[in-house]
Amino acid sequence: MQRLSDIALIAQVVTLGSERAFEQLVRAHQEAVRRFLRRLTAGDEMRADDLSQETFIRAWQHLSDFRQLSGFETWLLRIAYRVFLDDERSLARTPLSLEGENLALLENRAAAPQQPREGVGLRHDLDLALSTLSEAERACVVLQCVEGQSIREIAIIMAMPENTVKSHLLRGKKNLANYLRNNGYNG
Amino acid sequence: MDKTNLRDERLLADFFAAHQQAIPDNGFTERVMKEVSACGRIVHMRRLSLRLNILGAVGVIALFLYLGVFTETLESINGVFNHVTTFSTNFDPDSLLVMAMLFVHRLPDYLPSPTQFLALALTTIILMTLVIRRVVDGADHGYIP
Repeated sequence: MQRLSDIALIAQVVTLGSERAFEQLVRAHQEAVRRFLRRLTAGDEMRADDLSQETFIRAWQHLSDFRQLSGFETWLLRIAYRVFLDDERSLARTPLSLEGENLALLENRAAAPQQPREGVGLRHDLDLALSTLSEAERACVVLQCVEGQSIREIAIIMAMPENTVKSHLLRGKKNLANYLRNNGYNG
Repeated sequence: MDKTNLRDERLLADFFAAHQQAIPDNGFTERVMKEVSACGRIVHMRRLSLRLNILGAVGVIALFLYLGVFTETLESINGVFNHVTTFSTNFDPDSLLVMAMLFVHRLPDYLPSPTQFLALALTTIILMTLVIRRVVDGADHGYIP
């Protein structure tokens, strides 16, 4: 169900170019987009936030294309998934060079003592478990189990038929459950 | 849904419930809005630049028309064609057509886009047709032996 406030805010952005209305949309939906991208990037918070930022900028540029065939959040997650896939492709094309900035960054990371943070262990478990799944299975499972999207909405987000989504979900959940059982979680 | 699936569903629901994570904004929205504002300024500048370009192009065309540069150019091209006609009296129109077809056939290997190829092909055909017409006209008027 499309939220009424979302529709009103989108109308303001499209007709008046209101940045304030868009800011409210970002504030309302940042959590879902960032959480989804964090799970897809195996917990890499910096990369996930960069991709989230790119997602909202693309949304701003193409908001007039939003036809309300799905909810605004579903539309945003669809953009987020495409941004993630584009980034994955560009990462696959660019080999990591250990020169200059990259080398300095790695040295700094190695030298800095690791500060224990609240919830890091739990998140690590979650990302470790999800990393056993394929990219498509991971996205389907996260969208259903974490974001609460329906199969129809997942099909829209991932631009694939509903039956394909169902089989990804079935395989993904089975593999994830097996992994959890093998690692001491009781079912 | 069979028993195993139900057990899997319950296990996953418990697991994800235990790993629920709230993500505070922490200045994320402000960062996005800063980028959006910059993006809006770039779009505005692009629109302005497009309008200025169109205005400039219209001005240049008006100036050309006013100074009669187009007529001069057409006369120059005409002169070039005349020159080509006098030099190409040794070619018959058929060989010129074959040459044009060969040129058009080989060209795609060296051009990056189909649009460029099409533009060049059309230009070549027009030029060759003009040359052939000149040759034929020249023959009609007895300029070519």
